[in-house]
Amino acid sequence: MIDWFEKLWSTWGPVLGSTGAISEGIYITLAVSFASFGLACIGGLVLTLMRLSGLKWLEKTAFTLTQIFRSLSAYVYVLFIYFALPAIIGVPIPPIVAGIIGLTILNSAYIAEILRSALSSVGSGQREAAAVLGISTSRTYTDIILPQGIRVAIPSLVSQLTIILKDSSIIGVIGVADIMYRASHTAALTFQYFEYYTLVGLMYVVVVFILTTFSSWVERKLRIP
Amino acid sequence: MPDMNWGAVLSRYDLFLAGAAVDIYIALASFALTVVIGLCLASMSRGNGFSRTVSYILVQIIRGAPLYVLLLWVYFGVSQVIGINIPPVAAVIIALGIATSGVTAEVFRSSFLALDKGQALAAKSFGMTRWQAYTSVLFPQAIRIALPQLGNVFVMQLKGATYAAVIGVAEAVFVAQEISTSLFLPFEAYGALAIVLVLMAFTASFAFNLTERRLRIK
Repeated sequence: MIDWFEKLWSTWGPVLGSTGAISEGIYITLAVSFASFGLACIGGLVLTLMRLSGLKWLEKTAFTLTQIFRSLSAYVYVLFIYFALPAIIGVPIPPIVAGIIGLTILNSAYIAEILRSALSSVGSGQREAAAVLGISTSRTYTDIILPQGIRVAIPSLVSQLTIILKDSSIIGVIGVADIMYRASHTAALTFQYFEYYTLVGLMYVVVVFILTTFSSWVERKLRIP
Repeated sequence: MPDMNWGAVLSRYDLFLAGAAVDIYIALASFALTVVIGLCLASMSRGNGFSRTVSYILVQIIRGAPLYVLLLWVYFGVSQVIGINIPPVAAVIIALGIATSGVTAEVFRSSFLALDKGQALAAKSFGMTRWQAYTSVLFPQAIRIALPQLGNVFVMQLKGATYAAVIGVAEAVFVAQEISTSLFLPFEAYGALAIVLVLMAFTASFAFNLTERRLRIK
């Protein structure tokens, strides 16, 4: 029994000791995720407003873009933006920027779908009532439709944020030092692949769990009684 | 805008097709795996307190772990612990099957919940066993409700299959990387890759829509 514990400690001790060094990458992981999430919300809102604009060609364009954006993986986006785009525009793109752009494009499509279904869940009576009261279209959106729609959208938006957080692990392949990159680097140095990948996997699990718990709290707070 | 050389990439279309075939193979295999794991987790969440807790914890872990981490965990980590070299393709199929099983479990759980309670009661009053009720009454109806979302899961598998290039499986992304570095045509190679992958995803969702319409109860 003592032997077993000693063996366990000799493998896991150093791994737990380097938790601090790996978790320094969490700032990069979180920065990339939140930046992409914020930008994707803007992109998604633009796509949604295009979808709901009432102009046929604009709706068609937005629909096609959404379908195309969501059919590629984060990995392909990162490779495309980091390796292929600079060949056309002639300027190298820093890895972290390439990661953020890739995750933004991919998730704009998903967030557009979330926002569209949330905004269309606001009853048409609200829109009609606003029209009858003589409220302008932009004021109708900012003061009536969006505040109600956002409440419906929040749980799905947070679960999308967790997906972004998970997808952001791929930016290690172009050399951004996030937690996954640091973990694989240390694993390759020490040959303790199982231990380090388990550790980094659990780090993601914990962050995602915190986010989902926070989301259900916000959802309760914002609920219209 | 620099000169383009699409001809050089397009003349290697057979490589892209072969790579895409590998992607489809991985996606189909891991789709089968995720349906099995998802059904297990979903039926566990309908069981007693203990199995419900286990299923809840498993789903939370599966949902929190990124596909890329799972893939390297299975390929480098698990193979190291069990002392067997897992072939790269098998590692991708296992990792992808696990990674999407959280979503699949949720899909099955909600489709079983969406069924009318009377269906289970009617099956019981006909003297069917639990197994008979599941296989011939509840499952055929639940799968129809689940199908549109399972289509999304399958597109997720197709996208996830591209991660296989990280551990050296010769699928479409790997082909594009090889062409990009050997001919030094990054834009053309990755552009062709994007077109292939988008077409693949579109075909998959079209096929699922078709199946959904064919299976609909009139």
